[in-house]
Amino acid sequence: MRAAPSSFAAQVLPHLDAAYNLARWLVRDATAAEDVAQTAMLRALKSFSTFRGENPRAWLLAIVRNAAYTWMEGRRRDPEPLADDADERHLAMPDPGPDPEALLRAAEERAHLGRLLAALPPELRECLVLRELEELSYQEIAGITAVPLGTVMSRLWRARRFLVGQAERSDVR
Amino acid sequence: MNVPHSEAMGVLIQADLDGELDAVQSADLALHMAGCAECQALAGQLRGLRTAVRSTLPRYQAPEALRRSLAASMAAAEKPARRRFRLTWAPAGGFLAGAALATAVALAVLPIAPPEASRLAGEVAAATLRASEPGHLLDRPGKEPAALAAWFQAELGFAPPVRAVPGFTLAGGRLDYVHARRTAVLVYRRDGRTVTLYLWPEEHAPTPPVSLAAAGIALSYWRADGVEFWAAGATPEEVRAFAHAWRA
Repeated sequence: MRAAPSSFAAQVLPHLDAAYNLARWLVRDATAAEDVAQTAMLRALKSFSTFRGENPRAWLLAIVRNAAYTWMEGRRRDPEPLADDADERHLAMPDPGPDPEALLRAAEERAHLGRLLAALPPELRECLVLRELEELSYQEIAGITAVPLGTVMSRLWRARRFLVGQAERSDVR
Repeated sequence: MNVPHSEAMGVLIQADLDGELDAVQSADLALHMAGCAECQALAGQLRGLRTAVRSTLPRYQAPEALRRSLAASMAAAEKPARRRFRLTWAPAGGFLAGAALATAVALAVLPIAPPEASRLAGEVAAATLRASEPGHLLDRPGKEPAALAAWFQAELGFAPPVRAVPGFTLAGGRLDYVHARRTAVLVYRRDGRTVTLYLWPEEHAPTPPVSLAAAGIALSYWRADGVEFWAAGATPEEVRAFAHAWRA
């Protein structure tokens, strides 16, 4: 195989922040995110010799995602429920309201928007994080989350419609 | 109430914002939007959301402690990994050594395969070669299909079909990475040789077995019952026989 460790440092290590960011947004806990990111990096290091793609960041993020979901699975039986099972709830999403300015005001509340995003099921949250914070293409997101392109578009749309709707609603209060 | 005429329209507006439309699609949409207040309002909301998300939500940075501990792990991983790999070359025998060399240089894949299949073929072949290192073949030995399926379910959240295959002896299972996905792997034996079956959920329609080869490993893949199967072995005949027996 190739000289894995040095190429790993050149190709994969630069995406450590992206790995940590995705882990952090998925598991929503600084310590757990560090564990998940570390697990994922070590797995990536171990299987780097088999990596032949052109997109090390997407490859790494897929591994991070798997590690994060494994962690979340383990937490599912814990007393404090995460929003993982909330998919149903968001099927009945409120319609977005008519006032675009409300969004700008909502944006002033950093914590508020963060909480809203955290309330989304992880499948929707990860799409938004990968698109808006990592600025990945639909194709890349589809590869990372292992779903068809159409599913990515639909999940992004549901996530955004929910956030727009909630921003409107909080503005009314 | 501001959801445009159809959800499809919303998805289209969103795709335009994300730069995912080609010039023609984008122009068509602009033409429609020029006369549609509803769609204009939605586009405004989506742009506002983007501004809000990007300006307020943090893109977290990896803590220094994580960076340091990774650097240490990488330094530690470097030496043992190399030594272990070298040890495996000598006993691997002519076939595997030659195959590993081929992997090192380039993956020789039959031209009939589409790009996706050749990439997977390369990964499956590489995983198979890697597993030929001593102690890497099995994570869980076992001859009992139901117990193996339950083990995979616990490890992966996916219970692959595990079968007794006539003419082959089930030796056990392991977990591997193919295409950056954790993958269920079943190991069968016949006459002292190994046939390895990789399985993962795949929603596409069933397809009959397609034979190909990568890095000197004979492969056959097919899809059935929502699962994609990749069988890997020493000779095309044996892999074909395995695929046939599995599907019988």
